[in-house]
Amino acid sequence: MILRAEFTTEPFEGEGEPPAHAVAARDCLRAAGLEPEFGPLGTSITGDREAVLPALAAVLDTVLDNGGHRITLQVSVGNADEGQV
Amino acid sequence: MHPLAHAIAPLLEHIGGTAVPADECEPGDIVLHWEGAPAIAVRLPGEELTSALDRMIRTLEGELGGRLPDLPRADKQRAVRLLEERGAFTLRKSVETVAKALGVSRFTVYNYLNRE
Repeated sequence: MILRAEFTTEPFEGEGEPPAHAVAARDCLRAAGLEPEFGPLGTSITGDREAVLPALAAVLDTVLDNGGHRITLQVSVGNADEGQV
Repeated sequence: MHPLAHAIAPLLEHIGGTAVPADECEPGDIVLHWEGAPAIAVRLPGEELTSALDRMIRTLEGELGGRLPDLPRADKQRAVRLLEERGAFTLRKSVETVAKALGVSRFTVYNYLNRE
């Protein structure tokens, strides 16, 4: 089963470098062998359920460890109708 | 109704506009003249809304120095924040339009707008 997950981590930092929690989340997915799309307002990932779900669990931990105070996550089956993040 | 209205009826049907008597003209209507006098007013659907958003986006692109899809990450964030401050997201279809222009999903834009 192919899943598409999109998540946004807060707090946002309006200027300068992306916040540590966003970067850490992206790097955590890369370390899991996935290729996340690191968008301006959120990150998305598409892959097999077996790979994506454990990676997302690690993302939640990583974000919390890196100063994130909220994570908003949407998981869709298949490559749902939305555009790229 | 003026003969001109009959003449352009197929055109209006195609673009979803309506013809009204010239003396019922409202702001945003386009008045067509015939032999020097106002004949009919053409009302375009939602013109004032979509063009307001388009104008906002175009103004912003001028300020940020590039088209929304081509802006670097930080400028894309700034663009959404500025559009939000300027009330762009009260306009119809605005989230969809901006999400498409930025190459992100509606979910992501809504998340951003709902942040605390």
